Parts: sequence; C-alpha cells; structure tokens
Amino acid sequence: MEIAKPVFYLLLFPGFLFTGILGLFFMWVDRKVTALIQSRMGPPWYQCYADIGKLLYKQTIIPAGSNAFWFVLSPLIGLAGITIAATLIWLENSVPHVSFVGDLIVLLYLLILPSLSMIFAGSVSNNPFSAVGASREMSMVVAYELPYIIAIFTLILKVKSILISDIILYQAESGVLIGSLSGVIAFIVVFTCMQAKLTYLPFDIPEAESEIIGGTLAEYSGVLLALFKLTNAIMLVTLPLFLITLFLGGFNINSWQNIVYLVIKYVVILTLIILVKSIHPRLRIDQAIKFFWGPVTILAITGFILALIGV
Amino acid sequence: MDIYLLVKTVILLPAIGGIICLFIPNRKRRLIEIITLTLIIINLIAAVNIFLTGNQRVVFERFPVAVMDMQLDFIVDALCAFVLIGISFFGVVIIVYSIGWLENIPRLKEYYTYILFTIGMSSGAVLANNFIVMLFFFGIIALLLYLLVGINNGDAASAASKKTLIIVGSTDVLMIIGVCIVYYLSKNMTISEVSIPVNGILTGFAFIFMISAAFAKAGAMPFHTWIPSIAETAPVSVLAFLPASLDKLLGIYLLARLVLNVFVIGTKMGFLLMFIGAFTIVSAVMMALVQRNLKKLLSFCAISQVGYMVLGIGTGTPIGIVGGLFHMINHAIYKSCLFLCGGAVEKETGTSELEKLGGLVHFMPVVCITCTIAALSVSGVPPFNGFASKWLVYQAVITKATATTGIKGALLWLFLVAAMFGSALTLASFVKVLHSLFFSKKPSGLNDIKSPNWFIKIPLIILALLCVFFGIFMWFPLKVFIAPVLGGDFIYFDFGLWRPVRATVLILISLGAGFLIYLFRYVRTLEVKDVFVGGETLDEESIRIPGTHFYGPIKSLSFLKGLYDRAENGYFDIYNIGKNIASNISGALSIIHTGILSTYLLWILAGLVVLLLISKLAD
Repeated sequence: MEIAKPVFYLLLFPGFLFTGILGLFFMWVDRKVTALIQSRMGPPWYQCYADIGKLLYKQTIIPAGSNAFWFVLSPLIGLAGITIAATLIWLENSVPHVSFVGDLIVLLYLLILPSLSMIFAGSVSNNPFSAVGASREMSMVVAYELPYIIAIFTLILKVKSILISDIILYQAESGVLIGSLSGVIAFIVVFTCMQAKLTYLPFDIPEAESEIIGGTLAEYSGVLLALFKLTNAIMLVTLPLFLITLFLGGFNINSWQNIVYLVIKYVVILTLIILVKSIHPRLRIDQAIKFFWGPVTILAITGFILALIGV
Repeated sequence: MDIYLLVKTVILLPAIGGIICLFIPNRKRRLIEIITLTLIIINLIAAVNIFLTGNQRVVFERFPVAVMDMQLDFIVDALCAFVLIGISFFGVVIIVYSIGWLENIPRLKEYYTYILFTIGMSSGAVLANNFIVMLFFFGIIALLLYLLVGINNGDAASAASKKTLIIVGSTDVLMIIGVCIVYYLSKNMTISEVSIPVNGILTGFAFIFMISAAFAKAGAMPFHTWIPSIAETAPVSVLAFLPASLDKLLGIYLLARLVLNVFVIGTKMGFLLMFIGAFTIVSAVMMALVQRNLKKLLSFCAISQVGYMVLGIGTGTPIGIVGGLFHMINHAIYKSCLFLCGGAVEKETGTSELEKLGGLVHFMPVVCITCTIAALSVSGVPPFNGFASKWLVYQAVITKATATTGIKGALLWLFLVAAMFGSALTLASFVKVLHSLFFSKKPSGLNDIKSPNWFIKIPLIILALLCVFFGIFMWFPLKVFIAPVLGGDFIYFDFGLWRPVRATVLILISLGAGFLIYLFRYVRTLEVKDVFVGGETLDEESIRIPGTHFYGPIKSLSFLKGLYDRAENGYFDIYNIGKNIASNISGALSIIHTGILSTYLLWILAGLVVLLLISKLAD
C-alpha cells in the first residue's frame, strides 16, 4: 500500500490530471492575452480542451521510414518526466516532511526530460525539418544550461542545502530569496532560461512554424501530438511553480488565503512570460547561443559573486 | 578455498592459457576461443571467491628477492577484490564479443594471448602489495597495451601504438621515480605499510609523479591523447576492453590506492585533483561534441568521464570517494557497451564515420536499444546508473563547497558547474551519435545490413541490463562492493535525496498512463504516410540531415573556433609538445655534433679537465 499514495499523487492529484487540466486552462489564458495584446479576439475558454479532445479522436499517422516504437515512445518520455517533476514540486510545497523522489539536482535532471523527448521526437521522425528542430533544441539546452546551473547554484550557496524542503524552510525563516540583489539576478537568469525551456518566443527556435513547419513536431498528429500538448501545458504550470518555490518562498494550499497568494504569484510570473513572448521576435539559433553564453552567463556569474560576498 | 591457490589462479592461469593459445594454429579458431573463454570464466569464479574470502595478506615466501627486502607480496582487501571482479567480468564480456565480432585477422592467436595476459597481469597489479611487484606488473601491462593496440598492421596503427607506449611508459617511469622517493622517505616498499603525508616539495613531487601514471592509464588530462589516437586504428573490442574499461579500472584503482593508503593528501593536492577532474570533464566533452568519427567521439567522451571519478576522489570525503569509485564501475559498463555497439555497427556497415551512417534502427533494433540505454546512462539521465554515480559526486562537491568560504569555495562551485554543464554536453554528443547511427535517414549507399549475431548481442544486452540495474538498485553495488572499501558499514547519505526505485516505478507508471491514452485511439494497422517536406519533390540524399551537422553554430562561435582549430592540429597534445621539445634539444645538440674528429677530441679533453677540477675541489 506504500506505493498507492504516490501513485495517486502522481496520476490524479496534484499530478497528471489536475496539473494537466490547470495547464490547459492557463494555455488558454496565454492565448487570450496574447490575442488581446495583438488586438485580436482570441479563442473561447474551452478551446484548449477542445483541441486535446479533437486530437484524441484523430488517427495516429506514422511517417514513412521512421520506427513506430521510438516514434510512440518519444512523447511518453517527456510526459513522464514532467509529470513526476510537477508532482514533486506540488508535494514538497504542500506536504510537510515529504520525501517524494529526489532533491533539487534530481528535479533539474527531470526537467530536462521534456527537452529530451522533443529531441528524440525530432530525431526519429525521418523528416529533415524535424531533424533540424532536434538539433536546435539540443543546442538550446546546451546554451541555457550553463547560466541556469550557475543561477541555481547561487541559490544553493545561500541556502546551503539541496533539499527542496530546506529551500522553502530557509525562505520561511529568513525571507524570500528574491529579496536580495543576487537573488533578483538569479531570478532573472532562471526566468530567461525558463522561457527557453518552454520554447516560447523569442526562443521558439526548435519549433519555428514559419521556418521549419513546427520542427520537432512536424510529423506528429493525433493522440501523440495531444501528448506533446499536454506536456507543454503541464510545463506551463510546473516551471512557474518551480520558480515560485525557489525564489518566491514557495506556496501552500492549506487555506484559501494561501491559495490566493499562490494565484497572485503565479499570475505575476505568467504575465511576465506572456509579455516577453508577445513583444519579441524569434532569435536565430546562433544568436540564442551567443545570448545565453554571453550576457546571461555574465549576469549569472555576477549574481553568483554577489552571493559569495553575501549581498 | 585456499587463498594462495586463488591468487595464483587469477594471476597465472590466464598467462598459462595465453601461452597455450600461442601454440594453436589460427585455423583452429574455435579451439582457441573455447580455451580462452573457459579459462576466463574460471578466472571470474576465482575472483568472486577471492572477494568472498575477505581481507587477507598473501605472501609467497618461497620467492625472496634480495633487493630492498622485496617479497612476492599480495594483499586482498575490499578495493582490490572489487576491481578484480571488474577485470574478470569485462574479460568475459570482451571474449564472448570477440568470438562473434573478430574477423579472421592474421594475428588471431596473439590477440587472445595478449588479452589473457592482460587480464592476468592486471590482476597481479591490483593485488600487489609491494611497489616493485606492482611496477613489474604495470610494466608488462604497458607492453601488452602496446601490442594489443598495434594488433592491426599498418603505419597508422604502429604510430598510434608507439604514442601509447611512450605516454604510458614515460608516466610509468615517473611512477618509478615516485616510488624511489617514497622508499627514501619511508624505507618501506610494502604498500599497505606506507602512509606519507603530502606536506613538502619532495612528497608533493612523489605524489604528482605517481598520480601521473594513474592519469595516463585512466586517460585524464593531460595524459589522455593516446586514447583518441588509437581510436581509429585499434579493433573496437580492444578499445572497449582497454581504454574504456580495464585501464579505467586500473588507473582509478591506482589513484584510489594512492589517495586512500599511500599518501595522506591535504587540501592543496585535493584541489589539484579536483581541478584536473573538472577541467578534463569540460574540455574533453567539448572535443567529443564536434567529432565526426564514432570511435573518436566515444574515446573523447571516455576521457571526459574520468573527470568525474577524479573529481569525486579529489574531494577526499567518503561520499566523493564512493561516488568516484561507483562512477568508475558504471563508466566501464556503459562505455564498453557503447564501444561494442559501435563495433557491431562497424562490422555490419563497414564504416564508423557518422556521416555515412543512418537509419540503422530498422536493421539492428537490439543494438539501438542497448546503445540508447548506455547513451542515456553516460549522459546521466535518471534513473540509469550514470545518474546515480554523478549524483553522488555532485553531493560530495556541494557538501564541500557549502562548507568552504572565500576563493576556495568559489573554485569548488566552479568545478561543480563544470561537472553539471559537462553532463549536458555529454547528452548533446550522444544525441548526435544516436541520431547519426539509428534515427536519421538511411544513406543511399547503405544496403543489405544484417542484424549482428548473438555473440555480439548478448554482451550488449548484459551490459545494458547492468546499466539499468545499477541505476535503480544503486544501493546494492554501493553496499556490497564500494562501501567496504572505506571500511565500515554503509551510511545512507542524508545530504541529498534520491529514491531510484520509487522514481523508476513512478516513471514506468506515467509511461504506462501515457501509453493508455495513446491506446485510446489505437488502430491495429498504423497508417504510414510519406514525410512532409513542404510539398516539394526532393531527392533522398538532399533531405538527409546527418548528426554531424547538429552543432555547427556552436563550433563556429568565434571564441571556440580558434580553440577547436588548435586542438585539431594537436596543439594541446602532450605527446606533440614533448616531441617538439625533444626535437629542439636534439637540433641544438646536432649543431655541436659536427662529425669532425678533432672537435670531439677537444670536447673529451675539456670534459677531463672539468672532471679533474671537480675531484680536486672535492678533496
């Protein structure tokens, strides 16, 4: 029976089902706000659910010359990774003294799995556009990983622990991590990397619909595409929550007041994401690499040095 | 069983078998293989027995050697027993693979002889409890390495094997100097009785000299350059056996022995080790990223992984040493698996150039799956074994870094960034490999590819299963093999948190859940449609994207381009640097070397005068 509880957490609440439904809702928010910024009407509230529902009823098409086993497996890897990561973040915040599966390092590695799944998907599709997409996705992971790691270490340096519960506890005791200058810098760096993790503009280089027709996802259709959409939806909830956990003191869902706090924090970050997304054009991959290894890394290092001297 | 007999068995039996093999003609190939395989399995059983008997001293007193109170002295402790099992296990794997993989090369019996000898001598080196005995075995191993690497005829092979011998041999010479210093300081040649704190210049040199030998064997920078050189010429089975598994075991064993027993290293030497480790991780993997040949890419990656072991052992904390040793065994497992997969591909397609390969997932599914598992392990994707050991190394460095302040603390964080970033770069290299070999479009020249035979596939499957097993049940190898090395019971490290079994179960459940959603609209006949290329009609070759094109933007970044160009021209190769220095010195000497007899007589006279003066002064 010991495993039954984690499985419930994982599949129903707060894992896959709950976060998925929530994610699809915020995906609609994203589309609606973007539409308003661009002076359009935008879709109705149920649009994203309808999209998934429709995709579930479509037939799966396997591209010629690709291997069905790997083609089907690819989207599942990312979904599995992000679901566990989402459950981990929810539980660490809302259940005291939980030891779900891992610490911050494990979480960082779990959050790579969606990217890995996109790369596999692009690679096995047997389509030149997808292959280009896979190569861009991988280059981008390599690019943002450097400042991202440095920024995360800034945080570990302050907290002196890699247990997520300790990070939350530290913030409860001595103020949120974004409260210091180095914390602000680390937040900006992680936020930028998160935009790339979400493959949102200006970093939607691996998908680039107008250039490489959706890149990694070019050949995906039906249920498998729906799985990718779900992965993205869960990421849209998980990554901001990750940011809230690390920098904004975490969250709690044990009272209405706390839930309102959480919603406010989340909406602020989501608004930032949507704003950045709406006002930037797409970068080229080499520009993105230079951007991440240049200014962003320098910023991250500055933040780190500031943290070292205790600012 | 009698421990004396067991020790004799693991050292001498393979050697005797090797000599027997030399007398069997090449055309009786199966006989040679049966003998080799039988002996090596007996060897493995003996190694396991040695492991089970536990700590003992084994001194063969009937072989006293007068020099420096040397005895034929062996020791069985947790560290060497565990490395011994590793040596025999990889021996079995490689022999089984060679049966299916090796073509009928002219030096077939020599090949098996050398492999058997290497296993015997390595066992000796690992068990040796006397510096001279250990040096003796390491000397023979260097020679065997030279012979095995050059087993294929040809200029390139002989040049590469010469380079290998020079690098490994000269570091062995450094080790001899180190041993001399150790003897001078402690007046003792018995490894288990020596314990020297590294605190002065002399002890510092002794330590550095001795770890250079360990680095050359394991392939850590700056003594790594022989591995990429032999990658293109030596047979894949040799690559998988020597640089990927056995030499890593020996090198890291030696390093661990030096750090744990022989020397008591302080913070400075620890930092030196960690610096070398972190530097090796990033620079080697950056080279791996841009390679176009599979075997070369794998060899650079093998260098990079040594960095994690050195980094872990360099921390000097229990968790770091455990992580380093665990990474050593994990690396041997997945890297030999990767090399053997590469060998299978090379055997069936005739090439290891990434650009000429593709679409092999349809022809060799087993190789594809095992290769993917090994690639994910080496990249440290949870829950495979590479993640487990890297995670331990990270824990060690983070624990140390959070407890250290100032510049030293900053450096530790830098090492940590190097290690984690290196992991992302490794993933990038292997995405390139997987795409190039298996998932990209098949090049038009590649036809009639068969799936490899079972002698090739079984070792691959065993190694891939071990990758999964050691990853999920990581506490098993840690408890049984590695914790005893540090003496005492295994402590559950409570700094971090990683529950591999639960994580795996949950990953499987979510994979299953995703698959159930997929089955929602499952039709038994999957519809297959042509790929969408924007409605254009393009020929097959022009829409093929091989993995070698993946990281063009990174390679052409201005600050990396210069470094890459220099690295490709061998600018940073210690062998080339040494060669240049040597040729400069000999050039200077050749100016004096005129060939005129009267000048020589003058030099001799001048020398005599100097000698006389010195003897006069000495009086």
